[in-house]
Amino acid sequence: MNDAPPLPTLLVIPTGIGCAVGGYAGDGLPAGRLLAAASGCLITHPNVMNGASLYWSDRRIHYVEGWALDRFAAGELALAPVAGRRVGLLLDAGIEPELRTRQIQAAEACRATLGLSIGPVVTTDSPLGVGLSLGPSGSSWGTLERPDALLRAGEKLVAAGATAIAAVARFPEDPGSEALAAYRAGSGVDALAGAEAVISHLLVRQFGIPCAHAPALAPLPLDPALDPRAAAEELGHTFLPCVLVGLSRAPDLVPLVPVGMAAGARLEAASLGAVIAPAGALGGEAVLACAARRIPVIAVTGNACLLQVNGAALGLEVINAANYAEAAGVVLALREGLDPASLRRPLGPLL
Amino acid sequence: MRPSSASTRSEAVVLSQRFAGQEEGIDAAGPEPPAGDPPGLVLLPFCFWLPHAAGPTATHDPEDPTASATPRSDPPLPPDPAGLRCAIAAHLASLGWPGAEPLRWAITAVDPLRGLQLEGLGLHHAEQERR
Repeated sequence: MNDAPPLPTLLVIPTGIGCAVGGYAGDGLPAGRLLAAASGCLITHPNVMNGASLYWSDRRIHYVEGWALDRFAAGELALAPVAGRRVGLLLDAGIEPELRTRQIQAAEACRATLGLSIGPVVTTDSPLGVGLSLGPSGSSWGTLERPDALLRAGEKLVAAGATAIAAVARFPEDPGSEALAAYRAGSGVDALAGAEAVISHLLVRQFGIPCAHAPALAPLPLDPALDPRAAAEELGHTFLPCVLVGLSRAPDLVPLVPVGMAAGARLEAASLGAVIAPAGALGGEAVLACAARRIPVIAVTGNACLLQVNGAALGLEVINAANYAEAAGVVLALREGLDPASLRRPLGPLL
Repeated sequence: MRPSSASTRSEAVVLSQRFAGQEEGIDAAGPEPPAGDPPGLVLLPFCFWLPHAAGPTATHDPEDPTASATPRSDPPLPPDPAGLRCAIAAHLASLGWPGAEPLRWAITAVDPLRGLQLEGLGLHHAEQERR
């Protein structure tokens, strides 16, 4: 048992850039759990925590959607833990009836089995029209034909008392595509991720409450050579349970109070002790905002991705860690007040 | 989450050309709302290079977000995310979407000559009248 005070730590594994760890179906979760144990307080985002039907609930882990995470790191939002919340279910009108029923049954299962508070259910007034694309860097991006329909449905949920929104949109699919085969074999980029992020970013930005997204997709044929990191998505008919669990205790997003007012139990960027990200993906807003605050940046060199935006390229001072186990050691050192440099050799002179 | 039909690399080349203001590119005004769509929100994919001289650490000049393409010889200074957000907004405004804001973005490449590649999606509201 660690008796040092928790060291609030931010874990970022960007979605849609082919991360070897966290670029698949909740395969960043073991790293998240370890870092939660090392830090005593981990703030991270759905891409790390969501494993379709698989999830892990831990009071030390704060589930914060990416847009809110960026605003938190920028010092514009604080996080206030809650006992629980009512998760409204937003369904895309483009989902076929059978697939829609599967989503609703997954939500019913989470009510009956986990005791989550879920509802109401609102369907968009027109199909959202999710479009997928890859950006010039190869990162996955996506867009919506009808963002207005998404927000109208969200408005109904909020008006009906939902304090979080789980959105399910119909995503285009092609079971025979080379990209899908590569992903299931453990290489390539998660092409759905970019559009998923756009949906949740729009909702959180508009309503200021926790939101996350699960895609609606038809089941795939059995693949005996499936990569373990992609296996979580083959377990059921929906990817919804992890989202409902994550949102059920996601913290409130609170506009930061003026200086001098009591912060209470809120978490603020000013209290962060470390931020952890893949070494080649340091160019996101949250990491840059933390670096600007001189929060130690732990760059995980062993989590390869498409990008080469590293500390040297950006002029950021970073602490390199070969993998997440080493990163957890660095976090423990910081939590204990140790200079991580003192644990490495050679130990350079002060002058 | 798994890939889908629009995600092969060859398709990506085509799709990436929809990114507003990319160097080679194309569709300089960004996407149009779908026909018949009430003019509510418009999502604007973008990708552009922000030269170092204007960039990451300098005080941002919204009138001249791409001031120079001078190669950088000194070590880089850390990018200022608030300045980058302003640069993205200025880029979108220069493409005819004044008032648009970055919704999701990242630096996706760094080049000593061209600067920082900023890639992402902007958001424009109807009430922000398009030029």
